[in-house]
Amino acid sequence: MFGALFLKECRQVLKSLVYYIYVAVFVLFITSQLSSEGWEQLKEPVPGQSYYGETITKDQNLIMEGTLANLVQEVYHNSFATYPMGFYKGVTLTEDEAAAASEILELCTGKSFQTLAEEMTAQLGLYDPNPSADALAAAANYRVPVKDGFTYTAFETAMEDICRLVGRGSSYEKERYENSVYVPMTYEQARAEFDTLCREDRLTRACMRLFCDYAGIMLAVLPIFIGVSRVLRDKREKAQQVIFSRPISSGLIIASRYLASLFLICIPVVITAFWQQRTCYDLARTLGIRSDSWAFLTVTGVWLLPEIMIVLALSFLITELTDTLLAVFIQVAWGIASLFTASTLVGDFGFKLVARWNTFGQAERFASQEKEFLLNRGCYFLLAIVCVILTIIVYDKKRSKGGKAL
Amino acid sequence: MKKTDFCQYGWLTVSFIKRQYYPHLLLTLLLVIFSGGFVSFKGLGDLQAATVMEMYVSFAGILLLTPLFTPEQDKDIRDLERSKATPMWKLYLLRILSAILVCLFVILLFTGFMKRGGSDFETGILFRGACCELLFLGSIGFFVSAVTNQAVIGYMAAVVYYATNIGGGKYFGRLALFQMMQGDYGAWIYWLLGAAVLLTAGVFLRK
Repeated sequence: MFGALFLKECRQVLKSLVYYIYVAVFVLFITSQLSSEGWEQLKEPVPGQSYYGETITKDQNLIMEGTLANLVQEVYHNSFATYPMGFYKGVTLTEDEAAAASEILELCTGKSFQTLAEEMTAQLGLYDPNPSADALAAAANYRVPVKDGFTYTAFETAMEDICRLVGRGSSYEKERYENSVYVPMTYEQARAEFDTLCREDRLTRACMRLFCDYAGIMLAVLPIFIGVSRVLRDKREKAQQVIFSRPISSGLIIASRYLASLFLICIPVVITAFWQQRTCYDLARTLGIRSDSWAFLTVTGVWLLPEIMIVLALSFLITELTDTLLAVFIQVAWGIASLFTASTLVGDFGFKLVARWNTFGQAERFASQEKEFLLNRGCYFLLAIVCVILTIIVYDKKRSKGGKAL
Repeated sequence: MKKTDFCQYGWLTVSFIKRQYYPHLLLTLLLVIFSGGFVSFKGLGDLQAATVMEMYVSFAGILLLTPLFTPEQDKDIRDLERSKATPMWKLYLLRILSAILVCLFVILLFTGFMKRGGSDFETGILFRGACCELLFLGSIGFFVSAVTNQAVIGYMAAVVYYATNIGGGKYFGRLALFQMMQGDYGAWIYWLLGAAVLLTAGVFLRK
């Protein structure tokens, strides 16, 4: 019975224009945005290079210096990037507030703001849209040292004052600045990173994490339309009463409908993942690395399946409950908010719907955050199941009332 | 137009708002009420003010123009309306004009918020550009709804167009969104023409 219903539901989804728009947009987005540059330019680090990339630091001195360097630039341009409710909000300070921010900088560094601005322009030079390795190294090396005897506690207080001026969600909140100061990598660090990439990530896993990063953005939004459209279809086609009268349980109807939609949403994801992995797999063979040929299933399964499940399940629940397009507005807002709430594009999973990992590699950093990541995905997996159960209950109640909205 | 016609069209528009359109007006109201949490209105320059209009306020266009064919998604209602003496295109035109009026009001409101926050920008040029861009984005949803007879696909098309323009604007030439925040204020005429074509085509298809 379930098999027949599942196939019927698959046919229903395949008849829907929304599904083909989803496939086209998803494939176009992935193929146009995800480049294979990361792994094609992969080279073994050699001693004596001017730039090996960057890595995050936990050194308090460097955190202070890096945060103050960022502050000098934002005060200089009087433009502060904040994310108070998940979305980017550029903040411009009034003259008095900007003067107060300059004073805080002077207090931390013992230098006048004019001196700090001159040092910054001398170090960073003019903006270059295609910076050379030397320019990148100069930007990564730009630091503003604190004055002698300035403690980390005093720095924390100064940053709290900045937060009061700028508002919530700025780079001067403790949680953010302690996880966002990058320093140039040494040869040894770059070597270790390269070795881990080959040994732990086996190239293809790193490639698939990057794929999931891009795919996750679209999958936070596109399945909503498939879910909403599928639930409203019966009403639109006036097929509700016919289906209600059938001797099939509500659980079976919703479960087959949900699983059919989920299955068909996953198909283009798996195919594009396999396609993207192919180039990386070939490169690994050339370099003599034993790659993980199943990464396109295992990594995407853990990373993207819970996301698709919850997005689809919630769209089913809200639409079944309201018989309207409300899910589109609520869930699009949730998806975009989740995307912009991230303080970094690499990690900071929390309970965000879209898990970001916009880099190729950094296996050790991922391992240190893996527990948080798995907790995030596990919660969404369970929440999706709860939403499906609730949808079954709502559907059953509507069925007993002859299709009237609750 | 006779007085009785005027009353009849007025009644039809009020009825549409009362029965179908008010949730979208409420959502637009929420967009305005919560705007302070998402965008800043203080001390903005030309480009920053354009960013507020293009990245945030333009959602009002999607919200207000996409659902204008919702009642006629039901074939019975559509057939009933077609049997009446009032031409369908007049019905749609009234709805479009109501939606445009609300859009203009929303843009005016945000212009006021930014001016009150001490922002300094070319009001007329930004207002003109924002109106045309909002109309164009909304008309994409409107047209796709008209073609597919499903508002959900209309929303999907408009949202996808918006999202694709973040980073992919080069593929859309002069019809790309977010040009004003890069300092290019010349695209308004293309947006306006695009909106006019899509709205007319939508009405023509559904009449």
